[in-house]
Amino acid sequence: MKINDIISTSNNNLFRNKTRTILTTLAVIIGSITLLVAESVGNGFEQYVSNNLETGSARIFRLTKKGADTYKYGEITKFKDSDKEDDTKVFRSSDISYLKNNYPSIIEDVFYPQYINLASISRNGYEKFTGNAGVIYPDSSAKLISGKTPEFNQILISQEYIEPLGFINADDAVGKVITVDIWDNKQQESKEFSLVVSGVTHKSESTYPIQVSYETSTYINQIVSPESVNPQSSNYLQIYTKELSKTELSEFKENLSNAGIEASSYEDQNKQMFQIVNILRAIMLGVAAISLAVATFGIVNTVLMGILERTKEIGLIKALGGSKKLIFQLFTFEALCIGFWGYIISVVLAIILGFIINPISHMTFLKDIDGFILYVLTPFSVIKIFIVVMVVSFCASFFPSLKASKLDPIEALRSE
Amino acid sequence: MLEILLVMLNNKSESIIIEAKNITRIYGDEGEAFKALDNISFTVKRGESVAIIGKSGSGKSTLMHILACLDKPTSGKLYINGNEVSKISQKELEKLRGESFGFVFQQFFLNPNDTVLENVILPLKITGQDSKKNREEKAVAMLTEVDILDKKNNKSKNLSGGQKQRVCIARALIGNPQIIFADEPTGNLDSTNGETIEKILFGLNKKGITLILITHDSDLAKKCQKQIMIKDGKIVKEL
Repeated sequence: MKINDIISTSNNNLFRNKTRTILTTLAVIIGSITLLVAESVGNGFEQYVSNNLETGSARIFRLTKKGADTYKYGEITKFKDSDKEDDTKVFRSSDISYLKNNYPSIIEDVFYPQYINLASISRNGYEKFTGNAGVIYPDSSAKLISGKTPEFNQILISQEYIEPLGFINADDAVGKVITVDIWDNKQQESKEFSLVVSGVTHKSESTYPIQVSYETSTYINQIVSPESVNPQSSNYLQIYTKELSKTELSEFKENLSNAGIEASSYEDQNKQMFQIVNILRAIMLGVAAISLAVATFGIVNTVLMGILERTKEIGLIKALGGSKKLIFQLFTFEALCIGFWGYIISVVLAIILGFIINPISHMTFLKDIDGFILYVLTPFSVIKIFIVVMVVSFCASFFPSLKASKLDPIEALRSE
Repeated sequence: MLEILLVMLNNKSESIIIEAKNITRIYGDEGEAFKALDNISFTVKRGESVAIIGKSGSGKSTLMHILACLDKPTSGKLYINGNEVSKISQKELEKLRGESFGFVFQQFFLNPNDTVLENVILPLKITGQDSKKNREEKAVAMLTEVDILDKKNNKSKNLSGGQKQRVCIARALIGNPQIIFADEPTGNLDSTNGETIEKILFGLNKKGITLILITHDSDLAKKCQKQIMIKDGKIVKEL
């Protein structure tokens, strides 16, 4: 039999017992929909997390000395007087030259961490607003609504500032000049700097609403607090590496570790977040897999019933020269057709579901979390789950089809 | 070259198409073995009409199944077109059944919800021959031959017994077979319809198709050139 004949015959056979086919397809739809929803919600979480962590670069590392009392936000530890004098736990300029000299093929640049003490942000003719400013290190791209990452004397602002500063929208803000007030180190007065908006970022919980490049912050700090640009010592160092392979990177980290220095990238920190997302996703997929397993039994049942009902037909096909393979294919394709049609309907429903879930979640429980799209159905997910459903359908039909293919034509024709 | 040879073979009406040598078929295990066929030997010439006659349980159906390569003899040899069947691969056997044999069954075995046309096309679909258009053209030609073209779009379950058997013959003919195996073709029909079917089958035989007729009806058997009478798995009379 030609392949198109097999498919059309199998497909037509499904319509012989419409009720049974519809019920089985329904089971497949429920299984597929659960998978699609689980996958889409997982995508939503992953996208949100990655959007919010995207300022991190795999080439930027924060170095700390082992055993240093690093202050963790919100955590209270006992103050030790000795910390102040402990020279071995801080970085000095000698450490910088040590790193640069020892790893010339690995380290692109070493920085002291830069902080910007922002007083306010404003625009000509508008009121001043408060905010926190951070530094974008090289190769770190912020998730932008509009524009690009800042160069020297440029600034990134978050979308929250658009309306207060009188911009029409994100595109309107790009290229406009705004003024930032930076406290000097003694916090007795502030100095004004005019910067050009290079881009607008999403509102995010984990990145600064105002960001400037490392060069800009160095320039500003040289004016307002020169000693922070070249400090006596620092608890952290920031290094920017060259493009490294995984083995080079882990080797480098180990070498540092042996020298008593710990290096962690944004990526390392993000890994933990993604782990949580992945666990969440695994749980949801597990639930979905159970419903798909139920659908599998539906398919097994449908194919078995079809074989029972059509025993004579199988006998006839074999008598007329049909091979075992042909019978196997006819019933397998029947299961694949159920899987296929069930999945097509599921995808349509899943797309419609997206138009319902996202607006509702935005109006209710995700009201305060900007940029969190709960349900993200990607073409990749659709293709991935399609393969899963087809493989499951094939497996479900395998043994019944094999049984059918082995029927003896004489017995099959004799059966009453 | 092969085609010329085939034509030569076809023209040579005296050539032997089926040869059965000492065919025995035993069912079951040794303890309760049942000999359905016992040392059966005969030949069928190309274009001949042969009746295999016997009561129910005589072994005639088993013999037909073996001749049609649906079953294998426990011992003995079967030659079709001079080839020993046990040495032909499964694939070749399927091809032989699909392209050289036609089957007419007492119970018709039509797919009830398919149309007459679809039922007739089935063998071509199975063997994967021809385009859709060619298949339909052939089916129409076959349905014309058995005079039931007007029902081509009816579902086969809505036909009478006689009509069904005509569709069944059309289906057997569509692959242009060398041999037609007819298992009690008139068994489920009234006498008028039975006669029509007989006429069609013997008409086909006159056109050169070898006809193997399995029946318990001696009147029908007498119309064949050769009669093989079977009782308890043995040939009791050969005319």
